Amino acid sequence: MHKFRRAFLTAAAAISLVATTGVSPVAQAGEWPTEEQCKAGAAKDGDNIIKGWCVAVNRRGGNCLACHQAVVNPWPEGFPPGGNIAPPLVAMAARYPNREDLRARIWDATEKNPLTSMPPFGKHKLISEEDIDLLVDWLLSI
Amino acid sequence: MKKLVSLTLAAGLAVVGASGAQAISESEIQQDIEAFQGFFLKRFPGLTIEDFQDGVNALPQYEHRRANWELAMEFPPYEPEMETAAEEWNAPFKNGKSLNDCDLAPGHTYPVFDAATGDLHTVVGDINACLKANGEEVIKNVKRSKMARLVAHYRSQFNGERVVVDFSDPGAQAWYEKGRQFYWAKRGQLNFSCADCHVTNAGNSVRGDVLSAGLGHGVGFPVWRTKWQVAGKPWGTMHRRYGGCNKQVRAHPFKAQGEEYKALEFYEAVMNTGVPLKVPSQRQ
Repeated sequence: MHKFRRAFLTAAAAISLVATTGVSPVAQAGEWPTEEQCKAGAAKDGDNIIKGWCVAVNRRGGNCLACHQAVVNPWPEGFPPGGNIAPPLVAMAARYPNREDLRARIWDATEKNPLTSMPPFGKHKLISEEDIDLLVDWLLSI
Repeated sequence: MKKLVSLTLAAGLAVVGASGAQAISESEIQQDIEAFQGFFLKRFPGLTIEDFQDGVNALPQYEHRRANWELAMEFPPYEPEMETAAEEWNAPFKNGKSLNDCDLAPGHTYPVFDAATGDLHTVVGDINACLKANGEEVIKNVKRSKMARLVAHYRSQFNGERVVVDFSDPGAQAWYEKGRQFYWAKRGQLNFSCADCHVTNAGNSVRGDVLSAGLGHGVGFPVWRTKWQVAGKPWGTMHRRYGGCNKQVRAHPFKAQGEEYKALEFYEAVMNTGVPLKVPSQRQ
């Protein structure tokens, strides 16, 4: 169901992208948008999962891929892979059966490990509380 | 009475001031050097201590880009600029002297602790002091352009010499401790310490970029940096780079040639004891 919705919404976003900019490389149906496509509004009418992905890939947002690789399929063509500072984002639902644990980890990872390199996204107001919720929605879907 | 109170207060503050940074001994610093260098030699087993002078280019994780760098080094972009640097260095003062007459310490021994004043001397600071003493105008921008070129010219004459700084004086040890605290303390909105990236994660990738190792930091400075060249000011000193690093972790940068960055430069120099200078160098 998600996949279908995503495909539909991405296609819709793609159409509106072409209509508004005419030049941006456009995400095809069923694909995850790139950072550029996100900025151009690819997630505007999307579900929380697409919105969460867009928070993750935005370098002024979560910028999760700076340190983590994310396992999404198919990986957007020509999109640079994530860094290898931190563990890859994979099987998140299995690793975090309790949603709040994952949210707390993003909000302030230093709670569990004071020496972690992970910035305290909520505590230091790097991204909004709403964006953290969207990230959790996306993470639990991959 | 008022006088007495303020005197007591002042004395109290002086005590706090002196003990604010915990004292560290010469032998403890020696142990720090061994631990720091040992960590990197173990992490990058194929490399010798000399190899680290090439910064990130030396790391095996950077191998896919090393060929590009080697190609660039066949005609280094900074070479014509080094001729300018030499001219600027040799330009006569109004009194007939030049920077050649300045009383500078050998380039591989900086920063130098001055026991008489308690201050830490950098090449940048000593050049400006010499200009001033000779009635010349000091160079205001101590982060880039002319100052960076002058330091590059001076330090390049000591290429191949191994970094060796004097930390035998308790005053120097206090500067060292200040720099050490700076290096290992988390800062900025992103909550990164220098060590988080350049020790713990040295050689790892932040997206497409490889993080350099703390061992090797500074021995190639001043640098000619491609990123800075885009804005037309390719030359930068250590303190310019420190400011950029602090901004990247979304911390307010400190003043170039201020106490914080001088202490950090001292700590990094001590950690790089024994690494040969290679000035200038090109960095991304």
